[in-house]
Formats: sequence, C-alpha cells, structure tokens
Amino acid sequence: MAQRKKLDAVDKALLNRLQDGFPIEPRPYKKIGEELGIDESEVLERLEALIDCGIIRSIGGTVASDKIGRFTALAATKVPGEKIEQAVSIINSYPEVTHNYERDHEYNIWFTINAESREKAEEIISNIKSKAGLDEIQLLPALKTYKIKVKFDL
Amino acid sequence: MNLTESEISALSALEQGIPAIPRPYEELARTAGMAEKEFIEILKNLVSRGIVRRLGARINHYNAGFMHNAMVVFCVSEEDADEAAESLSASPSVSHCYLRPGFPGFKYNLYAMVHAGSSQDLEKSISDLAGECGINDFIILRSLREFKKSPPVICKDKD
Repeated sequence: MAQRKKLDAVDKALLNRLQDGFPIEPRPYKKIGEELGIDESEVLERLEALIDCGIIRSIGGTVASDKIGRFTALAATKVPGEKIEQAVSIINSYPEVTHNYERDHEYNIWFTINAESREKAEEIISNIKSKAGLDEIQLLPALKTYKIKVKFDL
Repeated sequence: MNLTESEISALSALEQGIPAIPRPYEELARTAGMAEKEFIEILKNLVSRGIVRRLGARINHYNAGFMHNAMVVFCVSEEDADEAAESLSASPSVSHCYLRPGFPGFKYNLYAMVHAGSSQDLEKSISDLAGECGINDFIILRSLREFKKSPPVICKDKD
C-alpha cells in the first residue's frame, strides 16, 4: 500500500486543490475537474490511485472539537522497550485516542486524546495506567493554540 | 455549542469520509437519513460556523514525501510565549504550534510540529526556526514509529 507513486503535475495540482475547500455541491469532483481542466472521470481515477498508494488517507472534514465542547490533550508517558507493544495496543484500543507516536526521548510514547469531557479523558488515562502498568501519564491540554495547519504544498 | 439531531447525523455520516464517486453527498445523505439537498445545506452551515474546520483530503505526509518530522519543544517564559509562537507559526514547515503546561522533569512548554522532505532540510528548518524565534532552550523529539493516526470518533453514540 505504501509503495511510492511518481506524481505528475496534474496529481500535484489535484492534491493541493483537494486539501481544503472541498466543494459542497452535488458534483464536487466535476467542479474540481473544471478548475483543473480535466474531466470528472479523470479526477476520480487519479483520486483512487492516490488513495490506493496511500498518499491520501481519506477525504473528510475536520471537526473543530473545541467548538463542540470536547476536551483534547496531548499525553506523554515512559514505557520500557519490552512493554511498548502491549502498552500501545491498550492505548490504541480507545477510539478517543487519535494519534500515537514513539519518540526518541525518555518520555517515549506520545498520544493525543479527544474525549467528550476532561473527566472522560482522565478516566481513560487512569484505565490505561492500570491496564498497562504505567506509573505516570502526563496529560497536557493546550493552554493556547497558535497554529493548526494540515495542508502540505506539493 | 449545541448541535441539532440532523447536524449530528450529518457529522456522523461525514466521519466515514467523502467517497470517490460522482455524487458523494447523495450517499452520505442516505447514511444520515436525509435528502442530498438537506445534507448539503447542513454541511455548508457547519463549515460557515467553523464547526467543520477543513473539508478536504487528509494526506499521509510520509507517503507524500514529507517523511521527516519532529516535535520541537521550547522552554519559554509566559511573557515570551506569544512572540516566539508567532515566529514559529509563520513558517510553512510548522504545521501545529501550541503552548502546553510543563511538568516535573520536563520544563518545555511551547510545541511545534516541523515537517520536511529530508533529514538535512529538517535540521536546517529547526535551526532556522530556533534562530528566528530567539529561543535557544529546546529539544527535538523525532518520531520513531507511528502507531495510530485516525480522526476522532465524535458521534459514535448518536446513531
């Protein structure tokens, strides 16, 4: 799935166009095709190829969690090497956990949590600690959000 | 902010992703139990209110050539935070920037996610960013493995 695909100029233009402002009208891919000078069918073919080779994860909307009263935070914990696999499967079993990375630091597991409330997030953290046998998980909600960008120029 | 039942149904359908078919909203509307026209009106409204922040493709930056990324965390005083963050946020290589609490044994509080196409570009971006924001006290946490990346499940109990 993650095999590399050679992107041509049309693929790049399509990727840049698709990353934001997806048309909200009955034939969105036709509209994008008109903007890029290609047919709707070509947009769909190229899009499918970009999805198949793993460059596009999906097309969708990012819900502004804060605007609907959800609690989001980054969490940091220390997991010994031999326990990583088990801890990660416990952490990832919660749908509220949205990202999870191993990083090169003493605090080596960093995940994000998006829950209906702070209480719910704390309950999940406490369950993860007991199930995975972790002494410490730091919950780090943003005090200020300066930038959220998910568009990459190709 | 309160959402109506129809808005929740529409968001819940949208969470499955917009399919690559000529009339994707017709299919999402069917899932949400409403007409295509109503779905489109609701979605437009949610976007204009900023509840749906960005409608479009979620790209996998690894596969798109942005394979190198790091979380760079700076130690800043409360009074310097805004200025440093503005400087970091102005860079196209920074995708996310947040102020978060420090904790015992970890004094770093200003987080920047930095992306680049090569490890040299990443090194250079980070040193440029540090120079421009004027904060020299920072560490770089490179990602070794990605274990999960998925959109939040917001409406799971509602349908």
